[in-house]
Amino acid sequence: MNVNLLYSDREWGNTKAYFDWNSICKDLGLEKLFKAAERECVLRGTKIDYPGEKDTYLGAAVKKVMRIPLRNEEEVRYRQEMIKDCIKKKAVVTELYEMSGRILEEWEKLGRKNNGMGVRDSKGRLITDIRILKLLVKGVSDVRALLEDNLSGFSSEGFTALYERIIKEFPEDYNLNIDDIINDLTFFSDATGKKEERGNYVLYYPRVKIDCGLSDGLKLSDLKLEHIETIVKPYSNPRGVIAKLQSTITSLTPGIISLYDDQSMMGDAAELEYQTVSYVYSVCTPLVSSFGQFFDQLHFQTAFYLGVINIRSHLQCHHIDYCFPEVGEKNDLKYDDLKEVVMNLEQGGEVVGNSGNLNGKQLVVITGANQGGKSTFLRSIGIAQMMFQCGLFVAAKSYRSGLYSSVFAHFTRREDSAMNSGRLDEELRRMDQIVSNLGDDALLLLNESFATTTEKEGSAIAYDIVRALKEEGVSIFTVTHLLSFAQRIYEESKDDEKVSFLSAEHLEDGRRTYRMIPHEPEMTSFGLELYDQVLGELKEERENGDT
Amino acid sequence: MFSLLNKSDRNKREKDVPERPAYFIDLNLDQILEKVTADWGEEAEGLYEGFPENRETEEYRRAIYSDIKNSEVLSAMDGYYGSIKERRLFAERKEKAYETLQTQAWYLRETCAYVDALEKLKEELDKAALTSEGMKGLLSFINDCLSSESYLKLKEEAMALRTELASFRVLITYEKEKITITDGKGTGAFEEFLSGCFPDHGKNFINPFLDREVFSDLEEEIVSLYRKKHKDFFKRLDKFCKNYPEYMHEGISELEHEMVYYLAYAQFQKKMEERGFSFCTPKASEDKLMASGLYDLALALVNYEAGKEVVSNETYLGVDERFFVLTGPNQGGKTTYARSLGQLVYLSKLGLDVPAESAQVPYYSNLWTHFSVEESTETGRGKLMDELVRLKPIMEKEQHGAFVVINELFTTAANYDATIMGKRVLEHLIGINCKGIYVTHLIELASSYPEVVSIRANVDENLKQTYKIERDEAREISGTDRQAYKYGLTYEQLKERFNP
Repeated sequence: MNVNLLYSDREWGNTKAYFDWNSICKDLGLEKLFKAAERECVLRGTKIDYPGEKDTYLGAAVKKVMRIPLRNEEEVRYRQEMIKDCIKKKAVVTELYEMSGRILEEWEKLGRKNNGMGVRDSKGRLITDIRILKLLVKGVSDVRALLEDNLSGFSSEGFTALYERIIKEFPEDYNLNIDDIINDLTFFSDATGKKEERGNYVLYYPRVKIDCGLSDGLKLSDLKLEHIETIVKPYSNPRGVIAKLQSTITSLTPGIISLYDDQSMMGDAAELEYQTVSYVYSVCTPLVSSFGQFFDQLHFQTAFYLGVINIRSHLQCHHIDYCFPEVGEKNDLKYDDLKEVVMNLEQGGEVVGNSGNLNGKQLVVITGANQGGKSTFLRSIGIAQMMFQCGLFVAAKSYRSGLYSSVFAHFTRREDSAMNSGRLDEELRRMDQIVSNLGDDALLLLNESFATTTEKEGSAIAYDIVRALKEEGVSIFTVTHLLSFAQRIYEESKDDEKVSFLSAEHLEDGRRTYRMIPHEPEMTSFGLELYDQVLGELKEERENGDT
Repeated sequence: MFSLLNKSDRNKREKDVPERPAYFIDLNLDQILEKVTADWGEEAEGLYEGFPENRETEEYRRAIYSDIKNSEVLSAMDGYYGSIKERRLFAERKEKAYETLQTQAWYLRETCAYVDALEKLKEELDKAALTSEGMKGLLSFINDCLSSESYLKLKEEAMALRTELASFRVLITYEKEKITITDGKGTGAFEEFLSGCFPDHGKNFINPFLDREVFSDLEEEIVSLYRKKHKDFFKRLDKFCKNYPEYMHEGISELEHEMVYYLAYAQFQKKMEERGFSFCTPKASEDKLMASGLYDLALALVNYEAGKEVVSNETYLGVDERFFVLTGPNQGGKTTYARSLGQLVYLSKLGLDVPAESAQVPYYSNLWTHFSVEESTETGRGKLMDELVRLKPIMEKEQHGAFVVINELFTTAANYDATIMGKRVLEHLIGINCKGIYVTHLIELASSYPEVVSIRANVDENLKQTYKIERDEAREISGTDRQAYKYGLTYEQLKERFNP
């Protein structure tokens, strides 16, 4: 039985997960986002507070779901509508999450993990199995009841469809039949007896009829279960006088075998009893696997939505505007006040946003001085794209973009940028892997790639790769300090509508705005700037000395 | 008495084989036979040792084997053999049962299995187009047995008892302290209900009693209650067992053993063919030995598991030719080739198919091998002595017309001496009309006599072994080139490395 809260027609994406997801998370700083998913953030006056307990499962669920990109507008709509609905009906989603959590926890306690491992004897195992079956069956009824009570409040398709699926696949009369079967097994699963309402103990007895033939070597064969039932009898001492008397009568009746006091035959009978119950249980096992998966999925999928709701609460507390993006064509990117969420959450929402229209641009080359916000901008695009492709809102006033079946981040991290041939090897190896995994429509984010070798060599490598990949239709954003590379691309693509050059904005007084503006690449960069910064004094001194 | 292995008389068994001849090890036949008999246990032990006594018996077996390979016949025989295994299982249970009733029931089961299998075998052999004298003989032997009066009576009684036993149903009601037994059938309502809830659940009610071969106490109690209700049936069963202490017709048991000879090999061959290895029935030939696509079957088994190819070769030894002298570089496939020839002769002599695409094999009176024992601790004189002692029986007169495989002789003697001795051995064997192959590093032997055919293990232009053996003049190969090749340092190799 499917839950289908993430996709309208299946539990899990059937598209490829992002290649090297852990690198993407690290390069884009997504872990901070997943941390935010772990608990709610509320604003008390101007003070930010986290009232609830951390739930790491929520963050993990968001991370896992985000790893698989949605592939078309329909899927994005479904997810977006679900998120809006969950925000509205947070209490019901929370209840579903907790209810499934309790069932899974109970199941865990009963020994779900060591399934089949010989910690207990087979009888004990079977008793547990029946209890698990009972737990899951009851759980499904509870979910059905909860959804029934809240049906009118949902506006998205997911929850209503879930309710209808339960009704269809596990209708009430069928549920009653299964309850009957489970009750018939009580003599086995609850053999110790029970205190009834009026305070008297009762015992559960089996009445099992088996139809069988005699086969090879007169062995009993071809067993067919004819009847199984649990009989409730008032407690009486099994070693008592009455029991003994009854057994004597029994043993004298023709056609009846008394098992009283015969250990060996009692053992045989117990084995027969076990196999009978085991058979009935085994017939029911499809329910265990189906319902088991159902609760796993329900718990996981509701965790995702609760995580997303929590992320939203963080954005709200930091007064970060968000919107549900529009699905556009490939290379159709338009954004208004797009913010880098992770940095904003860390720095209290003070990092500036960017606006722009890159419609039709396949290659975006971003150059300019250090500390100008280039990497931040690149990450803001990357993060927004990740959230968007997972059906989430993004931190912008408006956002429109295409869907990319694969997104790659090739970031040279600052601490890695020491010149070192081993590092270049590593970079090339990663690029080689990326190239082998490029899909039909890929988005590649390059952040100071090939800065681990000389400017000349790095430029040559970058040029070859970017040129080839562009010809293959890959969409590329590259932040680079390799000026020969940038310059060469610029010279060659002056008439190419698909290429755009951005640069960090400097105001006339030299101040930085941290905004990206269209700007041709300059031939000079941090080198001279840094030279001036460090050695400029010497020059001044010399000049001053000269004069 | 009729036999599937010997044409004239079963009692005249194969020629006495005091111990396993050297060729079992030399030709790696032990490895092959281990695979052939793997699934057959003791049943197949010793079956492939010793050759048929004469040419007619060889042909007799070959014809039978051709019939048995026919898929209809093979499946009929397989089916029958399956029933033998089943019967053995019942017999084991019978031995274990301590309750007479149960012993008798197992005996009945065994008898029924025998009757069913024999009838089925006859029916299927009737339908198959048998061409060999041996298989036709088998069918008529079975027909005689099935129409004998003793068999017909046995069958009638056993079948009647079986039918009655199968019709019994018992209803067991279990209520913790007691079990009630009643005659008759259930309604099936509960199973129906379960199937209603879980259509096609495919689960089985595991019968706890089947775990044990003998009766459990409870089972015994149930059956004895049941016996009281069906006294007549159990009386008749008792009588049946006493009247027929032995159900099998005379001679059948021996034939069952003989069948294994063909069945085990046919199944092995089928498996190898499925893996892509060729087999063929060797054609009779007066004097020419000929094969194409010939390979070393033992090596094929090893290589298959290692995922490696096996090289095949052609061979041709004409009417006036007696001996191959095989020379060439080490590791060039010389021993493998010699083995494959020996295996060809061995399997052909047994009347079985051979590992080749096509083959013609004349009748040889016997098969001998002489391989130098590398790991022998003996050296110098001692080793030479040992070789000569082993050579003696091969060169005796009664070996006239045998096939001989010699792999390196006299390696410890001086070249000059070894060449002379080698020539003498060849001359002698040619003289007593033996044929065969002589693998040697002494290139002079290759041109010693007109009856000798020089063949050589080949190398390609890079001096890499091709494992192809062809007629060619014997010649030396330069040692330094070979060394360089091993380390991949010849000019061509280096070029190749840089420009793949």
